[in-house]
Amino acid sequence: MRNGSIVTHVVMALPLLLLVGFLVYPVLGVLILGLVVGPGSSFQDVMSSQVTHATLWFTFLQAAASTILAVVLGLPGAFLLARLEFKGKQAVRAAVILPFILPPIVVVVGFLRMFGSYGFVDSVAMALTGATESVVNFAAGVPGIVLAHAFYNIPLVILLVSASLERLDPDIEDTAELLGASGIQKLRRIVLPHVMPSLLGATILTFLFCFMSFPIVLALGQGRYMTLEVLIYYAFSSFDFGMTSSIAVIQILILMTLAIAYAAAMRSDKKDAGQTSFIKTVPIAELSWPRLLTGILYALLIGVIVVGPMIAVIDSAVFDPVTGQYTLKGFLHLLEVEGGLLPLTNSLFYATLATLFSVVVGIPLAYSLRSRSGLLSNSTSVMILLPLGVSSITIAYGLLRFIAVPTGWAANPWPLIIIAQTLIGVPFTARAIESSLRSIDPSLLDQADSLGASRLQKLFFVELPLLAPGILVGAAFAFAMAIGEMSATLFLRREQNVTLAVTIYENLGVRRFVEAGAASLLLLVVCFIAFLVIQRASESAFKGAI
Amino acid sequence: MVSVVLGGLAKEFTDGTHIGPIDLTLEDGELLALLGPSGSGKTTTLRMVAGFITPDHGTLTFDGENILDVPPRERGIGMVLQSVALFPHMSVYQNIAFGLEVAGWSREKTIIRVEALSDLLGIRNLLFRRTREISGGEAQRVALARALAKEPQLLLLDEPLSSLDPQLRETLQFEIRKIQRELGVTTLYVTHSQSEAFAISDRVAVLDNGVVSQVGAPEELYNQPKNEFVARFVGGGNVFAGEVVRNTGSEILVHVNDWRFQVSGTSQSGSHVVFSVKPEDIRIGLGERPDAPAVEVVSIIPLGGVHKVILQFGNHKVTSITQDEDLIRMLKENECSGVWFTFESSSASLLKTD
Amino acid sequence: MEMTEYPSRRDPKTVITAAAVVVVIIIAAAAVIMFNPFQQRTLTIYTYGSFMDWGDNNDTDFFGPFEEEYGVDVVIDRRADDANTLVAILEAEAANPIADVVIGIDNILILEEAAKSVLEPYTPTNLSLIDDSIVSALDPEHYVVPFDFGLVTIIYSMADMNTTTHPELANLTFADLADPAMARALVTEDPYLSSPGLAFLLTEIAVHEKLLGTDWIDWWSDVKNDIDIQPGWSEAWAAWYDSATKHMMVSYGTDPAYSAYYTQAEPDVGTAPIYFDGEHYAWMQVEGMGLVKNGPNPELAKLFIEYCLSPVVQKYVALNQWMFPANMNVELDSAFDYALRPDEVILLNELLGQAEIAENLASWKSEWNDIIRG
Repeated sequence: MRNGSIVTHVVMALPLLLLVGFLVYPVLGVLILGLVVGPGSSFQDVMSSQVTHATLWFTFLQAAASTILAVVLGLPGAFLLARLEFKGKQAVRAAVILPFILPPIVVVVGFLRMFGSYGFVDSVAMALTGATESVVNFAAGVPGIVLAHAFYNIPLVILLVSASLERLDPDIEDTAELLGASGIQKLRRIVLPHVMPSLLGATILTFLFCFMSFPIVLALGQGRYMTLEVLIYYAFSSFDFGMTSSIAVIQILILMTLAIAYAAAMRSDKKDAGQTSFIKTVPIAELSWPRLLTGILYALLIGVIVVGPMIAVIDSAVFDPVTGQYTLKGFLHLLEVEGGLLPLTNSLFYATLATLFSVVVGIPLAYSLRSRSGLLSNSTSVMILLPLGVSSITIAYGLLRFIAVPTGWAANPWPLIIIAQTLIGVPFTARAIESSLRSIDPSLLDQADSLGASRLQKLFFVELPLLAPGILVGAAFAFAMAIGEMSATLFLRREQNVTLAVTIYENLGVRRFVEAGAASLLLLVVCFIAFLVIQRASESAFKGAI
Repeated sequence: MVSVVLGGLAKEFTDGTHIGPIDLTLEDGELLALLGPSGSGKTTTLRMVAGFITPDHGTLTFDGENILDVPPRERGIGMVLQSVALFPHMSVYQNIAFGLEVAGWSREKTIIRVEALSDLLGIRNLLFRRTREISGGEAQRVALARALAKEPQLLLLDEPLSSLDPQLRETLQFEIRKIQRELGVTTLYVTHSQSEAFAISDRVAVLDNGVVSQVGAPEELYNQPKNEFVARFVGGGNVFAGEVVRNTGSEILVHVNDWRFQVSGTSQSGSHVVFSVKPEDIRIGLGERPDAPAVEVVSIIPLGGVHKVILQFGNHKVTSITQDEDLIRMLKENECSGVWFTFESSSASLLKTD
Repeated sequence: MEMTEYPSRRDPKTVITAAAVVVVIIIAAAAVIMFNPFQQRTLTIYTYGSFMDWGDNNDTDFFGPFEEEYGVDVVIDRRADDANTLVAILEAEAANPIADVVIGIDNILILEEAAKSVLEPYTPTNLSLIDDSIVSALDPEHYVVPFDFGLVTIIYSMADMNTTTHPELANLTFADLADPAMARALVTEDPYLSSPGLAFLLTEIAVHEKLLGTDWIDWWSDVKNDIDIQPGWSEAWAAWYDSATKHMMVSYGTDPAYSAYYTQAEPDVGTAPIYFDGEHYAWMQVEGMGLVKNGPNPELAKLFIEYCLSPVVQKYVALNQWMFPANMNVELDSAFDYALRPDEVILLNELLGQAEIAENLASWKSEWNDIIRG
C-alpha cells in the first residue's frame, strides 16, 4: 500500500469504523451503564469476590485443558487430511466442519446419548463387561465438559492446520529427506514451523471458545461448575448490571492479552508460504501397514468423539423420546412456513449476507493486521477478536439498547442480526486473508505497478484473485459461524426473524424434540452443501484452499 | 527513447548495507549492462531507477527531468524480473495484455498489439496457455512481451535469463538484443554474468560493493581494466601483485612470488604494483625454461574448441587459455608436472596502484 | 485466432458498482418484503417462549375474538426464552417501547425494581373475576395481574419409583432427599436461570427457616455432590425423562394431569410435595400480565388484559399452559383431577412473604451459589 491516496485511507478506515460503531460503542455503552450508572455490584466488590476468583481460575483451567485436548486430537487429523489422497476427500472436508456449527444445546443432547450413563458407549461397555448398571459416563463433570469442548473444536484445529499444511513445498520436504532428516526431525524442524501460524490461530480461537463456554458447562457439569460466562448470565438474570459489566471487563482484558500476543506472533513470523505449492500426497492404498493401522485407529477415535454425537443428533430428528417412537413429524413440521421455511430462508439470507460482509470487511482489515504500525496492527487484532471474547449477551444487549432502540430498528432488527453475525465471522476472514497476503509474491505487485495499474486495478486484477484461497477459507468459517449463531439472534429477534438455530432452541424449550432434531439436520445439510460449493469454488480458483 | 542520468544515487539500509553513490548515464537507445557479483547493489540500483526504492541521496532524471517524485506506474518503464513474475492466475494473453488493459486500450487495439508482440517473440501459439503450462524460456519471452507491450521508454531487466540453460540463454540473449535494437528502447540490464553482459550490451558498468567501478564498452573493460576488481571479475583475469624492482621508463620489473616479470608501463622502483594478464595471453609449455617460472597444472577444463589450463604458481592460481590440442594431450600424459608459463610484457596491464 | 476468443477484462469500477447494485437491490427487496405496513393496528404482546404452546390450540383460537371485535392484529411475540430476559429487553426498549402488554412476570420477578420500572400499574375493571388471594400473592399494587398459577413440586416417574417401593414419597421431606440414593435421583433447575428452580430454592428456604427452624444452607451442602442441577426446565426434563438413574425432578404439580390427558390413562407421573407435621406444602407460582409503560396502545392494552381475564381466554389455559387458570370459575378438564391442587397443600408463599423475599433474595442466591460451587 504505497500510495497514500484519500480513497485508500477511507477504504482501510471503513471496516475499523464499522467495528467501532457496531461493536466497541455498544459494548462500551453496556460497560458504562453497568460500572458507572447502573444498579448492582460495584467493580471492586466483584473483583475482590472469592467467587469471581475461583470462577476465573476454573474457566481458565477448563479452557486450557480443552484446548490441549482439541489440539492433541486434532493435529493428527490435520496431517491425515493434508497428506492422504482418497476419494471423497472433499466430502470429508466439508463434513469435518459440521460439529462446529451445532448450537451447544444440541451438542449436549447428542453427547449425553453417546457418552452419558446408559448411552451408546456405556451400553457397549456394559455388554462387554456384563454389568447391569452404568459402567462409564464420559459426559459428566469436568471430563465431560472438556470432551464436549474438544468435540466442538477438533474440526477447527483440523481445518485450519490442514489448510496451511497443504501449502508445504514438496521440494523442502524432499530436500530435508535427502539431507538425512528422520520423520521426527522433519516434523519438528520443517512441518511444525510451517504450520505454526495457523496452529497458533487455531489454539487461540479454541481457547476463546472454551473460555466463553456456557450451556455445556452448566448442563454437563450438572450445575457444579461455573464459568465467567455463567456468572454473567446470572448477573444478567438478576439485573445486576454492575456485575455483568465487571466480568465483561475481565473478559476484555484477557481477550486483549491474547489478541496482542497473537498479533505479535504473527508479525514476527516472516515465513511466506509458497502459494502454489502443494504438499506431497500419498494415496491411501500406498500406506504401509503400521501407518494404515495408526490411521484407522485415529479415525475410529475421532469417529467416536465427533461422529458419534453427530449421529445422535441425526437420530434425534426421527426418534421422539416423548412417545418412544420413530416418526417423520419433525420433517413435516419443517415444511410449514413457520416451522421450517421461514427459519430456513432467514438463516440463508442472514448468513449469506453476513459472510459476504465478513469477507468485504475482512480484506482491508487483513491489510491493517499486516501494517507495520504496531498500534494499528494490535488494535485491529483486538477489535476483530472482541465479538468472540466478550459475552454475546453483553454485545446483544448493547446492540439492542444503544443502536436498535434509538434507530427504531428494534421493531424488525434484521439488519442488526446480520451485523452481529458478520462480527463473529470477521476474525476468520481477516486472519485467513492476512495469511494469504503473506504468500503473495511481492514482485507480482511490483510488476503490476510498473505496468501502470492503479491502486484499484492492482487490487482487483492481481491481489484479489491471489487472495482467493484465503478469502474462501475465511468465508467457509464465517458462514459456519453466522448460520450457527444463536445467542445474539435469540436476544434481538422478533418472531419474523427466527433462524434455524433459534428454531432449534425454541423447539427444545417446548419439548418438541423431533422438530428440533429435524431442524438441526436441516442446518447440517445446508452447511454441508455450502461447504461443498465453497470447496468447488476454491478448487477452481486455487486448488484445495480449504 | 529516453536518456537516463543517475546522479549520485545512494541508499542506506537499516541493516547497515550501503549502496552508492551511483553515477551513471544511459544514452537514448543504448543497452547498458549493470555487471557485478551478488550483493554488489545491482538490483537495488535497478529498483531505484524503477521507483520501488526511494534513494536517500542523489538525482534521477529521464531526459533531463527529475523523475524521483514520479510513482513507478507513471515512469513509462517495462520490467522483467529474475523470478519472471508472470501473473499466475492469468493466461499468457492476459499477462501480455495487462498493461494495455489497465491503461484503457480498446479491445481491438489490445489484441492487435499482443499478437504483434507475440509474433515478434515467437510465442504466438502460447497465447491461450496458462502460465504453469509453459517452459522457462517461454515464460521469459512472455515476460518480455508483457514489458514491451506499452512501448516503454525504459526497459529494466533484472537477471532475466539466469535460470535458463546455456543454449537457451544464448538464443534469448540474441533475441533480446535484436528486439532492443529494433525498438530502440533504452535498456538497463542487470546481470552477474560477464559473458552475457559482453554479448548483448553497448556499454557495461561494473558495480563493486555499491559503487560503479568502471564504465565502458566491453572491450575497453576487458583490455584496460582500471582496477583489480574489474580485472578479476570481467577479465576472468590473472591478477598479480608485487614490488617494482627496476624501472626502465617504459617497462618495470616486478617481483612476484620469487620470480620477476617484465611488465610494460612505469612505476617507481620499490613501489607496490598490481597488473593483470588475460588468460589467452599466457603461454604455457612443458619442460623447464630458465626464463619462465615452473608451475604445476591444477586442472584442465575443456571449453569447446579451447582449453582452460589452471596452474598453481606459488599461492597464486594462473589461468591460461590455449587452443593447442597437442599441448593439452602432452600435458595430460605427462601427469601435469614440469610446466612453465610466460607472457609478453605488453600483454600485461598495469592496474591502479595504491 | 478469432478475435472473439480473447478474453476481455472488466473495469473494476463497473464490477464493484454492479455488485453493490445487486446487493442493494436484494437488501431493498428484503426490506420491502419484511416491512409490513399493517393494514390494521397492531397490539404487541411480549411473552416467553413456551407461552400457551403446550396444547393443541393456537393463538388465533385464543385471541381471534379480540382481534375481530376491535379490528386489531394481536401479535403474540414470544420474544425471549424466559421472563427475566423479557424484562431486560423491555428495559432496553424503554426509550421507545414496542410492546403493549407483557405476560409472564411472576410473583418473584415482580419484586425486582427492573420489572416494576417497565410496567404501568393497572387495575382491570373485571379483576373481581380472580380470587383476591391470588391477586395479592402476585402483586397487591397491580403492576401485574394474574394470568395463571401453578404449584412447583417434586414429581417422580412412577415406572421407576412409587409409594410402595419408596414409601417416603407420600410424605417427602428434605431429610429424605438428603439420602444420597434419593439425591442422586433428583434433578432440579438453576435458581438463577429458571423459575421452577428458584421456586424450589424458596421452597427449601421456607421449609427450613419457617417450619424446621434450621439453617437452609445445610441441606444444599449435603446434596451438592449428588444432585443434578440443570440450567432450565427443558434440560432438566431431558435429563429426567427416560433416565435410568434420575427418577425425580422439580416441576409443576400439573404434570400428572398432562400425562393422563395424553396417554388417556392413569398418569405415569406422581407428585411428592414436601411434608411437615401432617401437612403438605408447595410453592405457588403466579404468572402475571402487565401494562407496558409508555406502550404504543395503552387503551387497547387495558382492554386486552381484561379480555385475558375473561373465560374466553381462561378456558384454554388449562390444556395449553398446563397451569391453573387464574379465573377459577372456568371448568377444568377431568385430567386435572390428577393434578396437585391448591386445596391439597399449604402455600409456602404464606410463610415466606414477598417483602422478606425482596430483601433477601440476592444474598440467598449468592449463598446458594457459594455452597454449590464452593
